[in-house]
Amino acid sequence: MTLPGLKFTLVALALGLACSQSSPTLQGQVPLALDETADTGVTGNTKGNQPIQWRVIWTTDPQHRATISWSTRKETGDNHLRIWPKGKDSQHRKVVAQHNGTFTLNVSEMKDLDPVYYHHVRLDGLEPGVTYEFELNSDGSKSRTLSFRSAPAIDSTESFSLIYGGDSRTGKEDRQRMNRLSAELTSRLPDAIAFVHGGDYIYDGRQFLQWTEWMTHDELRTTSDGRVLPIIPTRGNHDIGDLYDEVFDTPGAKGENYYHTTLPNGVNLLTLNTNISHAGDQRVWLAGQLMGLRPDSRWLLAQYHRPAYPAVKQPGEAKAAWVPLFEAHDVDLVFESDGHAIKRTVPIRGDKLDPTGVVYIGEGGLGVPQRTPDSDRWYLQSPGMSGRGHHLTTVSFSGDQLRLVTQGFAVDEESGRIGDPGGDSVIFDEVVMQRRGAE
Amino acid sequence: MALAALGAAYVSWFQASSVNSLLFIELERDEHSARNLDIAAAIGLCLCAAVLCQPGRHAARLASGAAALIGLWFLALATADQVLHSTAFSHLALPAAALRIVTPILLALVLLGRSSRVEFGLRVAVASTFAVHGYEALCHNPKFLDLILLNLNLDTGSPLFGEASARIILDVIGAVDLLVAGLVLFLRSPALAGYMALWGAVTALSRCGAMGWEAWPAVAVRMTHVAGPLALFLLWRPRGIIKR
Repeated sequence: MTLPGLKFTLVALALGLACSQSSPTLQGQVPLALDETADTGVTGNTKGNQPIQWRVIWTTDPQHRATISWSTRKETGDNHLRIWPKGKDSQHRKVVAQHNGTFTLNVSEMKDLDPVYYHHVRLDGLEPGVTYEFELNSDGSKSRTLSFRSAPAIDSTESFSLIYGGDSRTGKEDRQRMNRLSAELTSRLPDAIAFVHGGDYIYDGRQFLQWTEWMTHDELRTTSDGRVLPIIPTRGNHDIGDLYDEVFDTPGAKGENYYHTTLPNGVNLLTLNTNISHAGDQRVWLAGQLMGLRPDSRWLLAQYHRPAYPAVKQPGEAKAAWVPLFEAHDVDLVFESDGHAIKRTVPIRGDKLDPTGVVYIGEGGLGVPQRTPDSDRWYLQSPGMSGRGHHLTTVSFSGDQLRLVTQGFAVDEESGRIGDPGGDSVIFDEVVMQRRGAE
Repeated sequence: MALAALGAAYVSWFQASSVNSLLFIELERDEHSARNLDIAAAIGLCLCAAVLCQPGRHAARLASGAAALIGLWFLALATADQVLHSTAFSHLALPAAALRIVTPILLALVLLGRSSRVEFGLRVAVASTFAVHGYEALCHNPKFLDLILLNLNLDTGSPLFGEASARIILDVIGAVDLLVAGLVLFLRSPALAGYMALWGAVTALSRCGAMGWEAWPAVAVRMTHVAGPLALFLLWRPRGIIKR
């Protein structure tokens, strides 16, 4: 080959790489097919038009709205649900799925997997604080009776809890164990109203096989009596591609995936997206939301994936773009993920400890192997904390108090996996915060 | 080169490198092994930086080995990034990091007196890095949007530049990057190489402009984006400049 020819080849190779969308799969990462879910004991060997992989999704106005979603392996024409306030079956109504489609398959999956179909029922007109039972139906094939509770009214003063966790992308056995723990907590906490997921559900967001496995495992969060805790989703850095929107019915607008969730008792949660520009339109939206919400908020919360005050890695752009706004508008508590460790920072303002500052918790432990945090970082010193363990945090709101309880399973030191999957959960951290100005 | 090595060493020691993530999280090796590799890499990179800063021809063989090791570590980092899927553009990590990988290895060859194909290798590496960054700019990589917005908008409450303006700026940057990536393969222009070195410095330093001093490792590892084009500039400059 002549020298100019070689140059052209190399340039073409560089540009070809630049334009390719390759998505290599690691050995050992090949997920289960949809009909190989018997290990979960939930959906079993389901085929055809059986509704499976149910999810209840909250974004804005969960007092009156929710999306209920499910999947079928067969293309079905009549997809609807029957819903009624618990104990009032006679008041049932039928709602047809408004948004149906085929999950996007990666090119590498097309030869191995038949199409799988999603169905989203966008509910409106719910009554606040009511437990609803529902039954999914695709071409006559029904799910068992499931239930969820709509969010209590904004002005309600009743106590309630959120369950928070993130990072379930690898460690599938541990992911299932954490989902079972979530179901146990949901059973024990009748006031739990939603599950806040900090993102990185799966390893490669463009691989449907990974999503379908995650959705099947997510059924394990359902309690034995059929209670489904609605999920408030966040996009993680691994959750790239269209499937995130197909799974969660495009939470927030397409291409944005950031939104505001009104919770009871003056609690407001802002979900942000660390996969798009932090300092652009999203920052403008955030500034407007914080300015409008702070005066009437008892607790002002934010959640996103990549941390501003990480326990392991380097800070993300959130630190430069959002933290000044959090501090200017006195955000109380921020949920972060991505680092695969446990952390609760000291209250931070102006990049130093300040009792009036913002507390950041996290940092992802729903199955992914846990790292040893860098506990020498100043913001993790007492009264902050850091640790290592698969974990969920219950965030309970009662009057002027907010109680954080982080619990889960200790890890095997070498692998970072759950050391004793059959063992009891332990509490890693427990702390009570007082509302600003209520001390 | 020494600065790039020190930046990578800092990340390995105080944070966690992408090689660590690949080994521990994806390949399920034990954390101690992954951590020990990071520590060994950090110490090795510091030693390599120290060797490279030693003047004198007697150290050429040693310096060559140090430069090659730095290049190989950057190759390992880029490979891990490419496999990890940790960002939207991680599938381009290897060609994007061409300068970080190739510049130290070419330096190693030069120190051994084997410089026959160095210029060509350097041109290809410069072209690859600029082409991939140009492509990402045209795709409006959110990280690049934030670099522009965080550098240009003073925290005055009302931003001077909105996201729409930043996207237009990225279109221009992307087109220019692709143009110069193509030109550097065919023209021996010191002005072109000088521009690319200057732009490499601007984009590297923009990390600190956006994120503050904490981002110095990100600036340091991008010093090869300056060194590569600067080496071409020195090769192509009119010799008379020095003589005068």
